Amino acid sequence: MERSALVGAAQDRAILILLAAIALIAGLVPLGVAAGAWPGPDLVYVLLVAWTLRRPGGLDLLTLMALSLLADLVRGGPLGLSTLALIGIREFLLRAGEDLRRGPFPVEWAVVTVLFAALIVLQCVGLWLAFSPRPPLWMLAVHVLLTGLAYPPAAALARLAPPGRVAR
Amino acid sequence: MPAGRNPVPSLGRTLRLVILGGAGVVCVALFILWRIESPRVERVRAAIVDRVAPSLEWSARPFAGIVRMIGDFQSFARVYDQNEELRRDVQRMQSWREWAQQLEQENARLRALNNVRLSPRLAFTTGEVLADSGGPFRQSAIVNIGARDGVEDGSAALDGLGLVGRIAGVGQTTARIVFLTDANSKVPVVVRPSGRRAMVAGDNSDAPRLDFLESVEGITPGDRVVTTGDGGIFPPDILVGQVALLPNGAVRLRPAADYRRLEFVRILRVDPSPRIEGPGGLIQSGIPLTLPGDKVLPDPVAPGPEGG
Repeated sequence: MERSALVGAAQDRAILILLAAIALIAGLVPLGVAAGAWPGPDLVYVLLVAWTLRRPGGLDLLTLMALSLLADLVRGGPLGLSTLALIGIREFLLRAGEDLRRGPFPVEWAVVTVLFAALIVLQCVGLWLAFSPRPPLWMLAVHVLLTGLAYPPAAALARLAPPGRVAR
Repeated sequence: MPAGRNPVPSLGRTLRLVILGGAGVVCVALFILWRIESPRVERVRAAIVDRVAPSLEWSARPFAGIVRMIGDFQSFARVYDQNEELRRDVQRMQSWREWAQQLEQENARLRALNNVRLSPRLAFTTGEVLADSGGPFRQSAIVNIGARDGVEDGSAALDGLGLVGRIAGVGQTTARIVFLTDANSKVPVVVRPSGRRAMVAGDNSDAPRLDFLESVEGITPGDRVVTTGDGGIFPPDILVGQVALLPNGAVRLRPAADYRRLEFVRILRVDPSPRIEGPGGLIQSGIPLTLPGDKVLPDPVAPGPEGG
């Protein structure tokens, strides 16, 4: 399989954008509109992180920002903070990614979940600073847990989808 | 698009940091913009949702349909419980019917008394719920009707039973409903029959608070809560829900709208009835005085922008 890195990256990106679009729409399906209902997992986040870890070539900063902002806009929550957190998470994962990939999967899983919790905390702090109301704690906890649960499939997808340039 | 390329030679490092810093600043700026210039951001958001809506429409419907089928199958498995539930519902409905009849009689009496015409121009458009907010930060839904269908910012959204929320963000073909349960939602209401006024303030739980209630005296659980129409955003007398008293003494609202089965939503379109402000034609000369019986009283401040 001879393929230039550039074509591979472009392919990775195309697959990611497609999957992210599907994930975004799947997250919006009006099933749990009731307030007491559990918030679903953040599928876009797990995809972005899985790609950062496993196919870093397919996710440049602009794509990340665009996808994250689009998700924020369509979902209707606070704008920009999750993108900021994702930029930081991406930086962190680009540095620590090699070790995470080599280590056992549960560690990677735990790290990804903790990072998502950090993203939520950052959002809450931002909202608090801006005197905006925040969702109750249990809801956020459920959100984080479900997102954590959604990570392994996303990681598997990142590995299984037709490879552009899979990270070793 | 050199932004994220990550072979990091020591020379490119500074550039990389600058780009990252720039991206961070953009994000923070967007957040601040969202907080300060909310209407503008909502407009952008509505435009984007407009673009996304078609794909929502063909994807969300089958998705939701399948899940509902599964849910229906599950409910098939618990027919007994459902039967009980229905029986309770029937009981409740009977008491409701009683009440409705009483109210109807009362209404008829009152109308006969003063020959009144209620909410003269109240129309509604019905739309289908396309999407929910998909996250814990907002309690909202997107419906498939928008400015094209006469939906406006602030319009009331109802399901068959009661108030669902208010429109915040209108695109051409879509609109976003912010539920009563959203933490940003505040609606002035009055508790019947005691007539006490309050503010329904969402806090992301399924039973919003009743704020600014003077006292709990004369209020019993199950009292009807309806909109007051104060502030001119909602028409008055829309059913919002019932009072629920918590064991710890807190007063909450049980919304009448059934959020769990929210499929179709009607959006009210209100032409506010003409207001009488200022001295009117009696004192101010030059403006014809319209006698009672005519529909519109002339507005002395801005005499008919569309008429003249």
